[in-house]
Amino acid sequence: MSALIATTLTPDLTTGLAAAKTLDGHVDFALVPDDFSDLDAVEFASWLGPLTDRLGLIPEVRITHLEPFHVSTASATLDYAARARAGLSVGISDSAAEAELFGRRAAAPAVDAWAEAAAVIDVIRRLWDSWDDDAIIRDKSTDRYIDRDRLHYVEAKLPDSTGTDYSVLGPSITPRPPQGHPPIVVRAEPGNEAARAAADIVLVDEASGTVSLEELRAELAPETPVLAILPAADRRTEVADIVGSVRILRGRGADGVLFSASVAEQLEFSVRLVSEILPALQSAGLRENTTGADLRSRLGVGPAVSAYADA
Amino acid sequence: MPDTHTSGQPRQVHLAAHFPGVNNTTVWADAASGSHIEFDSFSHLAKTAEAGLFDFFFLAEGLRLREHQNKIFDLDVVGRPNTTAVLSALAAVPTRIGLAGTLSATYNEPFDIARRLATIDHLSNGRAAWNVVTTSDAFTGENFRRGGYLDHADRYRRAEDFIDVARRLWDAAANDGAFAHESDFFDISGRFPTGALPGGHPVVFQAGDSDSGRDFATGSADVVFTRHSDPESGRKFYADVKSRLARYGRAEDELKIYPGVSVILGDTPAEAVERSREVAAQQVSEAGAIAFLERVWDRDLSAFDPNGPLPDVPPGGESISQGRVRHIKDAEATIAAWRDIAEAENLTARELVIRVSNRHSFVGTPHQVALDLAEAVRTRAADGYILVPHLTPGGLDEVVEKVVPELQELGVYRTEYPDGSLRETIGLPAARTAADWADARGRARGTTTGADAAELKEVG
Repeated sequence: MSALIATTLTPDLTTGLAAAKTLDGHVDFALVPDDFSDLDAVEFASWLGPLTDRLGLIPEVRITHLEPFHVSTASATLDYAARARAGLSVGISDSAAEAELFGRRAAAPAVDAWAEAAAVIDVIRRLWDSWDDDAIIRDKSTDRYIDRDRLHYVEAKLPDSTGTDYSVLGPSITPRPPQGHPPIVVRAEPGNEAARAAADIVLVDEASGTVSLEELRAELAPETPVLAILPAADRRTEVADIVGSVRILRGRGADGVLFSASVAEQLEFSVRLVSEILPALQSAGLRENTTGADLRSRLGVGPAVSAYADA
Repeated sequence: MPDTHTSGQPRQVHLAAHFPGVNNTTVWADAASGSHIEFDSFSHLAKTAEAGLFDFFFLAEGLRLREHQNKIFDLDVVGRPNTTAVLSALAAVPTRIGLAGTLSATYNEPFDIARRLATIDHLSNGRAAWNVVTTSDAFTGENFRRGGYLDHADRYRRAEDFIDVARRLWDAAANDGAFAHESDFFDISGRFPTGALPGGHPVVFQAGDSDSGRDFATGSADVVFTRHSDPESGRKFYADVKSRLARYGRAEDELKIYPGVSVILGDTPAEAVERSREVAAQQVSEAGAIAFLERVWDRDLSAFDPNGPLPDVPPGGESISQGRVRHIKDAEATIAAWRDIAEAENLTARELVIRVSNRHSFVGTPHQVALDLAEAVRTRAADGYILVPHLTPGGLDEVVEKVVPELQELGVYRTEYPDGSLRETIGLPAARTAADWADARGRARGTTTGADAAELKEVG
């Protein structure tokens, strides 16, 4: 199978759009990072939706101080605006500095924040599923716009990582997004086993020295793609070395790589990725130009099944 | 200079486009009625409005689906996007029109909302606007972490504080971003990361109608979105709201008033009236008529025939509808008045509902509608109008094609967008700092705290 290739795309007004247009049609997705120190990643990805044609758009959302309900409608809306190319990278906030931006609660220990995140992933998917695909009926014979039996209260109970537990009733205000479930990405970190088990795609940064590819492969469902994070190569790194790294990672069980580029280098790197690195990967037989009607099929994660499919 | 200051020039008409929300305005059964969720529908309406040189595109919001007799209400259009995500996507499509969206000050946090709006303002080069609402009760709170946590009066105090904090963050963005704010409702600190906003501050809308809601608007908002659509009640509302501005140290043109209105066109006056009659009838289905009466009667009326007389039972007082703003305060008096109308005009229940619920605001030939709009603005019934189409997404195509040229012919409508941000498009002065707003309110009210029990409501 062809290696999945993705890169980070910082929401930068000067280089973000040019980099996205360069990547569009070539790499599988751009992950838009967000640690609250720049523009909002979901808004930035939504803006890129109508400006791109093929590129998967996966904003990072650190959900610890945010509302699962809003996150679910925002990513569903991104999926509409990007015509089935949206994903959602779920992260946490565990620093005092991030807690103080919101001011509602104390900082959450990472392990508790990840436990909450795993529950939030489930409730976000349930909210996406809370409208059946055929809920809008426009039935003139009964004057009904929707069939309310095809809408579902999710009635979720969630553990709050620093305070009292809470609930989300549903249904969503937003009809089910085109992909059903925009793919959810989680980066493997110590103590986030439940969250990464719930993800559609798992990222691993072996340089952090915490989790190895082999451990993840043994732990995760075989069909869950794992992408290894590689620093964006600077000019001095030979393309052949990059191809060699990808080949080794593939041999160790990675399904592809996510290049991590700084904002200063992202435009230049996107050009090099598309014009030099991808052709070299193709020549080496590591990459085919993938196609797919939506991001899920492009990533090979299969169609989403609604939690209410039998309801 | 704003248009309206230019001496010798007639007061200029401003228009805006409302993407229809969850109510019976939309005739979804019409063959021309398209999707309410596909992105193409939003971009179609926004592009149409921009072709007509409208001030802004407006999106409403509701954070829980409406219920009727404890079940999800199924007769009207329902299902909407996330407000900021769709505005961000629209920032990529039309290039000059303002992008206004409703966001709750009850179930959001200031840093998050201020950063989203700042992002949209950057992506759109200064075209972001925010309609601030408080969200009704614990019913909506069931979708959020806090649940129903605020009592009625505190909802409005928190909203005023929320706007203040957002403006402080945007002010901080123009400097080094550092902020620290502590008040009754918020205790936050850190760095606001977006850099100075192209528009200074996003334009703030407010839709309150009560006495305290009007004070809230004069103390905190740039634009008022109102239900006072007919020119007669519009003039009273306009005079009252504008008369409050001096106390806050604001000039008449520093707060703009936009009623939400509907327009029905025809090639002849008679054809327009006939179309208005047809659309009004389409907007009230048989089941919809009974549901409308049930909301006023506050009891189940499913046993009554919509094509028979009005139900001959008294109101029940069960409060059977949740998730919408109540406009009728005295059910007994309203029902008595309707019985008189139905009897005098020999109307069935459904005909009565059509008669009392769907008056179209401007009905006529394109030329007549242009004259009426110009006259309403000249006589200070409004500064501009937010047009609510009954068809999505093409419902304003005809207005842009036929009424806008008539307005231009009359010399009361722009022929190109002015340079600058949405503030210039609307005719607002440059944004004041958060501290200026707070000082002005403090002087006007003789206190340093916000409006007690001011009222914020969502229209549409």
